[in-house]
Amino acid sequence: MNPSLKNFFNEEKKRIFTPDPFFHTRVMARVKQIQAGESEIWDFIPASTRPVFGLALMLMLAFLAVQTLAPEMPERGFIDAVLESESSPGEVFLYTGADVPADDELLQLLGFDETR
Amino acid sequence: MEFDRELIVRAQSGDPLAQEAIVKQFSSMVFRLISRFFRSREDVEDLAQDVFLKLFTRIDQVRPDENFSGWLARVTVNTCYDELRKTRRRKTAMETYGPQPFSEPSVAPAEPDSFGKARLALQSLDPKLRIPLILKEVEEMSVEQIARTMGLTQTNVKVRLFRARKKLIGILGQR
Repeated sequence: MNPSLKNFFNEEKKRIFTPDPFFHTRVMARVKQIQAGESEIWDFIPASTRPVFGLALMLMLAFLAVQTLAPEMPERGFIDAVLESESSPGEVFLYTGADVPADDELLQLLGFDETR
Repeated sequence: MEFDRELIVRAQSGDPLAQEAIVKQFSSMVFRLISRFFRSREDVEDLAQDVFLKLFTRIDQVRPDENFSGWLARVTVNTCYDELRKTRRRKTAMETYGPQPFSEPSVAPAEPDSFGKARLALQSLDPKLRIPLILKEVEEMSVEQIARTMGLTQTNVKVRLFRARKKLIGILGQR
C-alpha cells in the first residue's frame, strides 16, 4: 500500500472520541422522552398476541365497514309495490319466488284446475 | 458474557437501570467505531445517541445468547452508513443545484499535505467502499468480522476492499 496512506491510517487509529461522563444521562433522558410518547394501546397487549389481535381487529372493522357502507338490497321496491296490486296470485307466485304451495294449490294457481 | 446476557434480559423487560448500564458499558465502543467515520465530536455524539435509541427500540430482536457487542457494532455501522449516504446526497445536491461561488478566489487555496490528500481521497469514496476499507485498515477487523458487521458475504467484502484500494490509489495518483 501507498506509504502515505499507511501513515494516514496509522494516524487515524489514534483519533478516537470518548464519551463524556454525562453521556449516559443524556441518552436515558431521550429514551424516557420517546417511551413516554409511545405508550399506546399496543403496550397493554403482550407482543406475542399482537398479530392475532391486529388481524381480529382488522376483520371486525372490515365487517362493520361492509355493514355500514354497503347498500342493502330492498326487499320490495316502489315498482314492485305498484305492480303487485295489479297482478293475480298466480303471477305473484311466479315473479316473487314465494314459498312453494302444496301441489293442488299450485295447479290451481297456475290455472290447471282438475275440475276443469 | 453472562453479565451481558442478564443485562439484556432485564433491558428487554424495560428496566431503565439495565438500559443505563448497557449505555455505560458499550458507549466507548460505539464512540470508537463512529469516530472512524466522522471527524467532529458533535457528529459522533449525535450518532452515538441515535445508535442507543435504535438499540432500545429494537431490543426485542436481540437474542441474549448471541454476541451482543457484534450486534451493536452492526447497528452502529449501519447508522454511520445511512448518515454518510445522506451527507453524500446533500453534497451532490448542493454541487448540482446550490448557489455558485460569488467570485473566483484571488489566491489559490493552499495545497493539502499528504495526510490531507489521503483524507480527501478517502472522503470522496462511496460509503459502500469506504466503510469496509476503514474497518479493515483502521479498526483492524478481519474480512469475516467485516462481513458479519456489514451483513455481506466475505467475497463481497473482498471485492469492495479491492475496489476501494484501487480507487484510492487512482485518486491519489491524480493529485
